[in-house]
Amino acid sequence: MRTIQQRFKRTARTQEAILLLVIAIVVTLLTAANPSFMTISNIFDILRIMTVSGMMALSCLLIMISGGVDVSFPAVADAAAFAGATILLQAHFNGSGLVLFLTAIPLGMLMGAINGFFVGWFRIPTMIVTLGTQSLFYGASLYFLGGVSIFELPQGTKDLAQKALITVDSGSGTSSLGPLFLVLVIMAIGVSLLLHRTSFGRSIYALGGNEMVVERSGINIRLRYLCLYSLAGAISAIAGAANATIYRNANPVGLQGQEMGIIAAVVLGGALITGGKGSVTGTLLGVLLIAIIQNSLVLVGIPSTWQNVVIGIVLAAGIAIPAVRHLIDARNKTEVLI
Amino acid sequence: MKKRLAATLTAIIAMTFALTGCSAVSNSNAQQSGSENVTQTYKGAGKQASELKFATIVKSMGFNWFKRMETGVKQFASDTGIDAFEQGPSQADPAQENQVAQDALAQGVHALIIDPIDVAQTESVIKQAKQQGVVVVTLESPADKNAVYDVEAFDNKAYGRHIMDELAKSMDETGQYGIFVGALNSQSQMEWTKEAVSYQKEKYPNMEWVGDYNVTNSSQQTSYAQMNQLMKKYPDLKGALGADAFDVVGIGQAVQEAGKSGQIAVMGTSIVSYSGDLLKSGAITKIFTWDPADHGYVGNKVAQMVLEGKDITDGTDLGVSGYDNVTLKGNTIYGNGWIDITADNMDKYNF
Repeated sequence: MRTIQQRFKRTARTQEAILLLVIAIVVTLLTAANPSFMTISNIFDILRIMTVSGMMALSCLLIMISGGVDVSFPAVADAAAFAGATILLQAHFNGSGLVLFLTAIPLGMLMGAINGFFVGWFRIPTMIVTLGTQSLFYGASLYFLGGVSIFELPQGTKDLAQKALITVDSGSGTSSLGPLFLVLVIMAIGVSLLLHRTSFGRSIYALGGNEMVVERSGINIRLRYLCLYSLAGAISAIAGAANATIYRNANPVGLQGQEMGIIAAVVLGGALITGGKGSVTGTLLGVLLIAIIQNSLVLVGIPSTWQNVVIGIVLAAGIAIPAVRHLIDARNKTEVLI
Repeated sequence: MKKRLAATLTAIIAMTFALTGCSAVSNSNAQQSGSENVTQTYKGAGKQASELKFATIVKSMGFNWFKRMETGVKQFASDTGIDAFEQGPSQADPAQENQVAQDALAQGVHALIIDPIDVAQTESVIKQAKQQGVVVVTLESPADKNAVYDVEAFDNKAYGRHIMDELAKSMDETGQYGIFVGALNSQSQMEWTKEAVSYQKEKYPNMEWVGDYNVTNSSQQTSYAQMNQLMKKYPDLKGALGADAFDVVGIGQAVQEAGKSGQIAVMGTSIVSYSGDLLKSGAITKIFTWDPADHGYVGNKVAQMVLEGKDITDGTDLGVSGYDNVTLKGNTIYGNGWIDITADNMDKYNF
């Protein structure tokens, strides 16, 4: 038993090591192409870009470890933030930027619970459920809330958008890192602790490994799914509120279409698409790699028409590598057994 | 278990379709029918203004844009005494828009001014209206040949030249600028930005377009990230043009956060409800749009002129600023109806 666990740990570590190596190579190449890549202000840009996608990736990771592929997290993020902003607008609220988060979180949990209900009670594959519910969430916010971008956010939100933890003067203008990146760091630590230090967290891995075993061990699976999906919904809602804050706009479809890129980043980070495996560190490295690539194509002068191709190649390669390694691992394992 | 699963799936699929508003696609067989207009007789011809009823049908009454258009239609009604009103579905759905147009026809209107979601799907209603002797004027549909006239706020090429003139003014006719578009297949955006570049090469040789087209997929996040990079790649960048309404918002935020407000001229198509804060702060220099109120007014005015038997040719004055010297191409009327919005006059255009 221990050896298998150790093997899992080791393979997870190797994936992280490979990713770090790839990131190092990409950074070296980019710096060679344009020295302004390795400036504080560009690093801040990249960290700012990965704030929202990093949060969504954490939500996606939790579900993936439990054995499901969630495609609804951008919809949950958008709908929670948009509905939250609508409520604040109707209430003529103009105070703290924190309130948008507090309004969005319960909405996100509710949407997550809807997903969890279908998965837990009816055992429908997560991807099927969330393909349906993402249209439901997008459609509902367009139909019931009007679907017009809300730029009239509370003053506190607008202030939060421009608040800086650190500001650097790079000579040709300033650059700063906002407090929301810190929120991502705190959330990442929280999710990591949850996964590794609590019985709930370990049961998520177990669900992705073998659901039947978990059920027979006397755990109420339905409740576990409900809690897990609600938690993922809450995390998505924070991502949505962060997105609305950073861009000072609660756009009902602002994150639409980002699900595949995030799922790819999570897989890139070593999570197994069939569940049971995945780490927060790997996920954040995957998101970082994609953020680096997205934030450097213009910098090194790659034409727009090629940008999607480049991102596609990196994603395909990144997903193929762990799959191939998994195959090799599996072969070695059978050899050991023989 | 299986039955329940099937039932749930069906429910999900049904919800999905219900909420995304799936609609049948009708075949379009656009006819070339320019000469038909000459022999057409209209049931409203020769009637007093007080006897006439004009309906303006828009994509959706849920958008601020068309609420603004309605003020123009009401202005036309009070200026002329014609019973002119605006209607549209609550959701931008072609089938629903057709239904609203047919309801208007049933009310016996003499003119139908229609801003179609998809002109190919509205064709049957336009033909039906023509058979009943109703004057049909379309807005934003230069491809349509069935209406008597189509009214466009402006010609894209003239718009591109105007924006380049404004950009050049802000940049003292010298320095580097970048261009952002929502999509490479967005016809109108590509048309005006291409014209802007070729016009710049000819008239402002000291200016230089740098980088490629920055394709933003109409995403504010993308234009923001791309502008951050563009400013690093070209530290002397002095200007940026955004073609999608969200582009200048992302560009302006990047400029503001870099502390370069006022040093980089940020211009492009947008509306005040998107870019108001950044315009006020100076991060966005100037935005361009057209006023839907004027567009709606002129659409009605053209219908009235058709009923009065008045000709519209190059140079005709339609009585609204921006449409006082129109150009006619086929059955499409082009104005110069763009408006320049800065921090100083933005309060006048709250849409």
